[in-house]
Amino acid sequence: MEILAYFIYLLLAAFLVLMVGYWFYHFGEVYIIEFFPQNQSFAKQMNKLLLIGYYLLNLGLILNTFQSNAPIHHLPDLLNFVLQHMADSILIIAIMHYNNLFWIYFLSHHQSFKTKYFQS
Amino acid sequence: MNNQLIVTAYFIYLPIAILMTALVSRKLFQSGKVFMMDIFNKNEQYALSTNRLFELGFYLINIGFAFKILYIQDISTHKALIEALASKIGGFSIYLGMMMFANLYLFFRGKRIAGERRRERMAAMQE
Repeated sequence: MEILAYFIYLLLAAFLVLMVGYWFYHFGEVYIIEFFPQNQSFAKQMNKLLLIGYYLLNLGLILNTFQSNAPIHHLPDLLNFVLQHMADSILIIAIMHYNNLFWIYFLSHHQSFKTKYFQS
Repeated sequence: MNNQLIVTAYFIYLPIAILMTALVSRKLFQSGKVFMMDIFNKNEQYALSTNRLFELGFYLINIGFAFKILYIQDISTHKALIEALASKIGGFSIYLGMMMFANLYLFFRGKRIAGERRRERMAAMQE
């Protein structure tokens, strides 16, 4: 039973991480380019690096849950296991995401960016 | 310890929670576009991207919370099923409302600050 639970969790978590990672990579490109205006290709490479780091982190978190010792006897236990660990992954991704948004907001008020907004 | 009832409760709670999140998120971030266009000075790329990013964050944190509070210890009767569902869905609704207000507050605050900055800039340009 536990193996089935791990398998289902792995599928769902992998899907979540890949989709959400791609969306943040795609929609966040504007912000990274803003931080490196002179050097667009460097900004895009930076974005890719961040995506890879994100994948590594999430892979580690997912594999970590394979060590849980809780026994699974029935369907409710299975559902509970999968959903609780999905919840942990989702909440960690959400916290990292809001942290990123905070830093984007905070750093965009650096002096070097103010002139750019004034010109628009 | 009736497994059938617990599984029923899970399968009722989950679609309702996810559907509520989806509906609230759609309404909230439809009007969010207007705020974003105002804050980013009609720069469509920044506005729509930021809106998308906030929408994704909203989905993540709400669905994460919905899954976190899922666990039901024990249901023996149908009465207990209805009560457990009511307490979960009710609690989640209240939380969702608070998150919606928090996001709305951020939109309004952003709009106000953008307006203040615009006025400062106009004043500085006229000197």
